[in-house]
Amino acid sequence: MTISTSASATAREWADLYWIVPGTVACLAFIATVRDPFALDILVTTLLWAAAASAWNLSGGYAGQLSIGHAAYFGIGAYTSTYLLLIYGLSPWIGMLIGAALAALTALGIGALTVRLRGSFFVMATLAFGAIAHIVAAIWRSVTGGSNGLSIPFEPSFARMVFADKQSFAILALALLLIVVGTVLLIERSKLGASLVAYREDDAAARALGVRTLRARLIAIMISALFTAICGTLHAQYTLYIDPDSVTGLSFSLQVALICIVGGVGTLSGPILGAALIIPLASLLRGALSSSGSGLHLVVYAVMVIMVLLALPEGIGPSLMRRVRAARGK
Amino acid sequence: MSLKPMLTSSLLGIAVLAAAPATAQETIKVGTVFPLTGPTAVFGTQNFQGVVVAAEMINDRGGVKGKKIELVKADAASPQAAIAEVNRLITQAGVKILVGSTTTAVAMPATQEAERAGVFYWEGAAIAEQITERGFKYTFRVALPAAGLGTPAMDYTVKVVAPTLKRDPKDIRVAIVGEESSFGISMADVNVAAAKEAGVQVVLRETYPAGSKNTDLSPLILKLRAANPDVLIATAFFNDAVLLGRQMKELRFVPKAYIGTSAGHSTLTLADALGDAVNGTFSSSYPPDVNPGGLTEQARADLTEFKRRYQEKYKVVPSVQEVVGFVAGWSLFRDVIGTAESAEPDKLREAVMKLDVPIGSYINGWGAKFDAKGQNVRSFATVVQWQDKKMTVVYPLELATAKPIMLPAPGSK
Amino acid sequence: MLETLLQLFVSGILAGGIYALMSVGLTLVFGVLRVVNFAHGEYMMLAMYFTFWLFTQLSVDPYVAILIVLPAAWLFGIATEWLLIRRTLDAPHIAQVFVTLALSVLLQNLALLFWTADFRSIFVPYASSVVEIGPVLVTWSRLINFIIAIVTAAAVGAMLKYTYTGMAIRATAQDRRSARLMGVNVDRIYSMTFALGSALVALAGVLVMPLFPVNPFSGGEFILVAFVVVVLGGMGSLLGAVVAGLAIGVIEAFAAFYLGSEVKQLVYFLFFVVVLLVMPAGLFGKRGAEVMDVT
Repeated sequence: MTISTSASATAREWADLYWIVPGTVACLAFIATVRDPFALDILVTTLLWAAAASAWNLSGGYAGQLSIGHAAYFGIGAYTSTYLLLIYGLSPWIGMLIGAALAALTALGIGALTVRLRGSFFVMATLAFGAIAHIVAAIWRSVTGGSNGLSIPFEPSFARMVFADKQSFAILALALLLIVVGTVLLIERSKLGASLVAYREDDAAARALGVRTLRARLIAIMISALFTAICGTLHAQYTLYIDPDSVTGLSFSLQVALICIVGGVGTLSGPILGAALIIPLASLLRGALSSSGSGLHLVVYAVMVIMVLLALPEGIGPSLMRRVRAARGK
Repeated sequence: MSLKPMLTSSLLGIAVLAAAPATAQETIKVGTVFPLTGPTAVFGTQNFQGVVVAAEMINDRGGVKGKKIELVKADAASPQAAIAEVNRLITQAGVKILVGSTTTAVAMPATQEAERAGVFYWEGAAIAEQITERGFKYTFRVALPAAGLGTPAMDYTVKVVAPTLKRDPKDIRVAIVGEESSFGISMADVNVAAAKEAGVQVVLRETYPAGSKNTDLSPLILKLRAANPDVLIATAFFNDAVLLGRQMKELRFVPKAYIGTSAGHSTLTLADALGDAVNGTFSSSYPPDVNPGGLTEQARADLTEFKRRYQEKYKVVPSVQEVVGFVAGWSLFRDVIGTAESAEPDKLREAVMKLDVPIGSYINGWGAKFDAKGQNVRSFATVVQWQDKKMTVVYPLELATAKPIMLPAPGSK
Repeated sequence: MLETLLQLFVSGILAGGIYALMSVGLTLVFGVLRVVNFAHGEYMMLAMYFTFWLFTQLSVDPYVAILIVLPAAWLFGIATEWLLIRRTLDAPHIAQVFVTLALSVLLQNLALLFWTADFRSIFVPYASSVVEIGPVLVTWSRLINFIIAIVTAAAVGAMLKYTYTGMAIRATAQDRRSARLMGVNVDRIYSMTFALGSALVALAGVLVMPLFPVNPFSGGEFILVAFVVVVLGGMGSLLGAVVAGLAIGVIEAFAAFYLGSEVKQLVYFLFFVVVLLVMPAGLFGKRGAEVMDVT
């Protein structure tokens, strides 16, 4: 992973490496030592959600454009690579890139259309686009298989992006996360990142100062969509079964935003912290409580999410950072 | 494992030794993989509770080869949750036998993960044809694929409705409507194909969004009125079955025969929701109460006991989905695990392939014999009709408990 | 043909009346508290269950149940506002929104835990009785629901316009700081508005109980359209919610008939997007008002 190498690089700019490197090493150690498929499933799922949330964070966090329609991009990625694989035998490694390109183009279209919308109007427009994607996935049966879904045969091979063991997939998911985080890191430190934050904080003032906020927003949403689509391909290759509800449902869009909000929107570490909390929590609660009454695990989960949101409304990352700084006496 | 109790027992004498098998703590663990939360929880829960009653019943009868069945419950509400839960059951709970799954979205990934881990998967009610088409070694389906569950609607149209109306099947006009779901689409596809084969005219095929998103189906009914079919075949969940039934009455659309395909049209509370208007409605369906004459003596006793236990435990009368769940559990426990050399997946597979349980041996009239793909060929669907607000089997004739009434439906043109 | 057109129009308007009633409370809460309440549908679901139990256990007619369910929903609204919403008002806007999302998951699964996933419905014979108006068949219960929805929306509108409380609510909606300076008890207004929003959606729940079955997840499915309606009408606009609700009902009916039931929702989502492109603040929203709710 590369990092800004400008001459003015200071210790502060390198600060993120203090958690990225140990985090990566810890993941690799986990992958190397743990053989339990349940634990590895949680790891893979967490890494994929962390990548999707980091991608969401680019437009949703840095630019403050809260989207609850990212399932559209996730679905484009999942369906494109899966369709090309099943019909033309095209390797998902290539299908993934085609899906990513399609998603980025779609995002450009949606971004251009929603340029004038602010606040909740923007949010609801993204909800509408997500809902449209869901309906299209359900009714375009010749391509998506409709509600019956598409299933990818389990034939392990690198070219087909199907692996016999979960370790390989965990490494793939980790690599994707690192690429997304690296990209976000680069953007964060670039003029583009500054323009996004300027737009979020005060669009009028930013434009008055000559910042091209519109261009920045469109680039951000395209990159965001691109990586979300790649996550969609990986999801399809991991579960080997996709249907409209699981890859274009509103629940994906809400979950990916929730992860960022719990972890801290507009920060590099936020989506990762959020995913590392939310995903294992949901899996472990389900495992521990599903032998009790139906729904109990979701009751506990919801209560815990509410408590986290009330206690740390800015997200775990920023709230912790503030406390650390306060403890140090600044 | 049994060495220690054996030693102890032999020290304590013959009386204790005789009691040892009953007090042995060894159980056979079976994981249950059903959606118990989320929008598909309705049927997932009903299937699951049927399995629970089967386990309790077999345990109270002494278990399987002296061992108790211990169910380990999971909640698989989505494909991703199915993967997580199957892996948890296998690695955390040490389960080697799974039973599921109600929906295609759960069954596809769950069976996939089980197959990869070499774990035995006993599929109950999920209907997608693909489930047994992937050449899996350890996946077996005891209930029906889509074609089996859906086609009786068309068979009945051709073999009973047309003759009763004194019409040639080729002059019968059908409309096929259904909800936008894996289940709805599959049912419509099979019936359209069956209609083509029988030469029956399909005058309208329409799909509407699934779930409670429908607040008004009157445009659909106006379309039906314009298409003027003799027979309406509908696949609906409970909420839309209610809405369809009510609005058809309100807008005075009465086809000569109205045939649902299981799900909402075979849910007991449909009668509470529609009142007398439910009478006359048909449904091609997993068999609920079949004619006891078609059951073995043992199955008749099982049926009585199942119904009593289910009502005591869950305070509701069991119906179609509960019965399927029970049969899935019962066939697995009594006939598969019960005849296998051991509870290992390979031995269970051998036992399944050898099964030869005659029709009428399970409480819904099914038997068990599996083809090479792992599909039970002795499961079948029946056509029921709501008569006096109860589901009554009217087809196939050997299992029927009554003759059809209201055919053609009063008020139909 | 004309008969079909009329029938479609009437069916659409009547369905739209229910959409309007679902949306009035949502738009009110949004306008005043600036909170998008994702749990709105679950309030409706709870009201439907309450109506169901009153009917089956105590034989209370659904129209009579209004007198019991509405006050209960009001209290429930006050309680949740005090317990949750109030504590998020100073938090970033997105944290607020997702607290209500978590609340909706909580309420759905509590309902599942206590009442199972089974659908519950009530059978009221008169609900399906039909009145013929010319060639058009109108279901009594849908007609009555429509009238109640419109009258209620008008009453709420009049209350906002003419009473002191209503003026205080509007003042708070426009500028909470100034309202406070003018001596408005803003906390009380928030509490009241949220309670009123809960009661309004509960009214929708009671009224539809004779028409649709309920299970723990139906609230969330019913309500999706209300979010579209609220934004389409212009967030915070009562008149907008009513007009947009009726418009979506009619669009849905015609789309289902002419283009197929499968795409009826696709059509109204597309319509929604197109309207937003042309009128970024919705049909009746004030341009610039939406900027106040910075995310």
